[in-house]
Amino acid sequence: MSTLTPHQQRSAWKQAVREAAPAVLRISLLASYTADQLVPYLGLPLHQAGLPARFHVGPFDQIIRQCLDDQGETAAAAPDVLVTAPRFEELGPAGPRWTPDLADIADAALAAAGRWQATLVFVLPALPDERDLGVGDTAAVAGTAALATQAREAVRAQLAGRPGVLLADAEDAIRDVGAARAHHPAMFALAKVPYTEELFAHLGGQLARLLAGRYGAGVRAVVVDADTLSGAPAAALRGPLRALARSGTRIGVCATDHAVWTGLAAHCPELVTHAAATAIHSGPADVRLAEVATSLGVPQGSAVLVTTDADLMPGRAVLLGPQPETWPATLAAAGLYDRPAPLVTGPAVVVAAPVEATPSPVSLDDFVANLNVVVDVHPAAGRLDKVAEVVARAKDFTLGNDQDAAAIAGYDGEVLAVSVRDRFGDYGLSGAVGLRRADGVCTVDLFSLSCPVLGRQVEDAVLAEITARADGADVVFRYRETAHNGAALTFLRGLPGTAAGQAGTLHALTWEQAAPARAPQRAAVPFGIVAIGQALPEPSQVAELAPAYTDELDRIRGWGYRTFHRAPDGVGLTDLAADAGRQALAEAGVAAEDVDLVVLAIADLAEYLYWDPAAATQARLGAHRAEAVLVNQACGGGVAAFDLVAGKFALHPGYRTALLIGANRVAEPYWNRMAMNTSIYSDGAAAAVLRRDHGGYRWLTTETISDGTYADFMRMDVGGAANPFLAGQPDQPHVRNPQDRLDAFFNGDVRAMYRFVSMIRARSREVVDRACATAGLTRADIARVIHFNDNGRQLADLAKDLDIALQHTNVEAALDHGHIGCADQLVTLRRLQAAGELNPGDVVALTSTSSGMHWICTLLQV
Amino acid sequence: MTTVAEPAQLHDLIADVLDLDPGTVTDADTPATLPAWTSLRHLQLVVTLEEVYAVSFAYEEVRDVPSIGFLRDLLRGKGAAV
Repeated sequence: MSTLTPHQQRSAWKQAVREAAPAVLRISLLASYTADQLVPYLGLPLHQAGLPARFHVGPFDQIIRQCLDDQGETAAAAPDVLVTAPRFEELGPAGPRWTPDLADIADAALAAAGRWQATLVFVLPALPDERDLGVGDTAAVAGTAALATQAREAVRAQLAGRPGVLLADAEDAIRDVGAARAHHPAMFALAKVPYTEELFAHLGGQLARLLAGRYGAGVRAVVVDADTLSGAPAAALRGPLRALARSGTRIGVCATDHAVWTGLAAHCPELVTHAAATAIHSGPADVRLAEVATSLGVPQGSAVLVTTDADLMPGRAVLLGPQPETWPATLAAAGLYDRPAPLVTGPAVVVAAPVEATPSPVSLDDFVANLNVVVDVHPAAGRLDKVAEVVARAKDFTLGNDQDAAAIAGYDGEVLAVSVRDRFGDYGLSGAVGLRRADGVCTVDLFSLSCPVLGRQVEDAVLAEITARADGADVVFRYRETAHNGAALTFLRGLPGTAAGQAGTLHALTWEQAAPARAPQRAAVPFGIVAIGQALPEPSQVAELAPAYTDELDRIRGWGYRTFHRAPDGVGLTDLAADAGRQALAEAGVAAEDVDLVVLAIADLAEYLYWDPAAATQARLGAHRAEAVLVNQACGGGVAAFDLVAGKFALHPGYRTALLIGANRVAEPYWNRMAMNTSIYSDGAAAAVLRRDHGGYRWLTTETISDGTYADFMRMDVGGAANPFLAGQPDQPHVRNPQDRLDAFFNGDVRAMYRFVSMIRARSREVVDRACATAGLTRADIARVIHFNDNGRQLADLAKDLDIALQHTNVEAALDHGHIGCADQLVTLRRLQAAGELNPGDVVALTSTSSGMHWICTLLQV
Repeated sequence: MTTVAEPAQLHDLIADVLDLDPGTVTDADTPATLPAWTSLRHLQLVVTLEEVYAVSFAYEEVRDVPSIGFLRDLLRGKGAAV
């Protein structure tokens, strides 16, 4: 424990920061309270121990959210050490949920530390001071102390002895300073800082000792200064020396001469037994300490001098006071007994799930949904003074327009108050919105939320309310960047239709930027789908045939596919394509010779190399007048081809009818249809007859995001021009399994893999938003999302990402058909059409994520 | 009887907390004139004043601090020699 006052420690820390020593550790602090105060008291001792650290303090009371979010600011800080410090006071009223809720925090922190390859320091929360029964709480088996103790011990059992996990205890720090001096109610009211500086100093010291031990900067040798300790009081060192010896700490002695050493040994025989090195001469203390450390075989920096001379080596010595009976406590406080807890082998303790347990593994959305957040947005009339107070205190989530109480009282638009509650408590009035409507635009220049409600998707709920109140008008957020409103700006930059500078219904603009004109709502080239045909081989049962493809049957079962399509031997891709095309033409009543354009989209290999399957299909259909185009944009080709048709129609006024075909035939020698990705691949084809000026299933727009960074991810290394496959080679070439490709592509970097997965999901949402913005729509206007036939879990994630009900996706068709390459979306569209599940005016989004990589969205209006 | 210290002592202390050059702070300064007086620094200022002058503040006293002079009056009201 430092002998400096908290103020002196803060000053010393500032000086250490000014010295700007290169950081050895990156430390992130996540607490349920404002934890910035902890930084100096953790940073200074680490700096002094040779472990200079750089700190990131996460947002207040967002431990789980930050731990679940691999795109969040804590993940971005790439911490080497993740400190999590919850309090019971922020876990809601005392009750049996404390145990599972605290366990959820521990689980999330443990998982995050694992993904981020960080050491986890979990601070067990202190027992709350507030007890409903006062002194009677002690006798209540379900009282505050009992419930808190139960939760603490459950988490201790959950985390203790786990590799890469350190446990600290806020209760220890409170005991050190005394409860009466530990809490700071005024600072808590002011900024959610619950503790005094003295408490933070003790807690920081405790954390620093843990980390010093973890990173090899702990005390490994104790050198007794015989010159100041010789004599009868030295007997007080006997117990501590025995304990130090038992713990493996090396012991040495320095003395000016042998008489002093002998005098010390007479009262403390343990030194004779355990001292493994001595320096007996009258040289400077630092020289003698260095000699002993060298003799003991430890680095000089890990040896400390134990002395009663305050002038000897400050910072490198443990100063014992005049009362020998206090010495053991002084040595303990100096961390001389600190040793890591033994590792626990065997499975981790699982905390019993509560009745309303959060599903595991927990996603960020699951977590927020489990909070039961209720956001109430209502006119602020009559409460403008309170609104002004909330706005004045909000620094992180604000548009930065400096509206004071007078400005809010005289606001010439509508002021809305935002109240929030969740299962942890009622946050009361927590934010405000000010909006004005004029000339078809709804301008928002006041949007503030207080920190305690951030991270709960409150901002999304308020945004939905704003959009509803805009009643179809464009919404323009006017903001000024301040030193602190990064949270609000990050949110605004993520608004659909603004990130890419596209027109849309939501815009975030500085005051200097002009409001954009509304995007055109009509497609540049009018055409629609007249009829859809398909060619699907007989369905095969997944459960029956999966063992022939893979040993990982649990994985296959988890995908949820029921049936898939496998073409008989001898049936090729163009056979399927021609069959589907003929059926579509027949249903549309269009003769093949009247077709102007045949577009064939494929994802797998066709029957032959150096051969155009689109031209072959055109010939087999008898569409001799038609231009034939092959689209090879992997599984997204069937969706992207609408854009190609639009372009052809635009540039060739004589083109009136197009036949768009998506076809797939798995080349099984190269490609295991059940072990290639997250789907079971099927064989089949679907075709759509598209006609200029046709009003049904009208094309609105197509948007594509391409990122060639990942072009190599799906490739088969052998068989192309770079590395031809030659007959007679011993190994059959094949596309490697997804795990091997992930490992190879990302060099085993798990964080990069997580980022990759998160990026895929973010872009799936972005491309839909772009398409909506181009069409002058919002995602709320979409009645159906027809994605490629991914597995059930992936489609559930997509539904969440797009805020659409799972049953309004293609999940049922996907599980019945498997992934038919470029034909998925047309097959599902035909199915919905036949079932009467689409209504005139419905907007349908055909979407795909495909190798390359590409994210594609085509919007149609029924 | 307490002796009122030189105004510069409080100013230097505040300048130290706010990472400003000594001598640049006056009683007339406000959070608006000192951009370094952020909400986080405000917390540090409050705890530093409490510690150095051995006083404690109520929430209402430090919620909205309009100026350095206000802080001086507040400290004097609590018997601190500033």
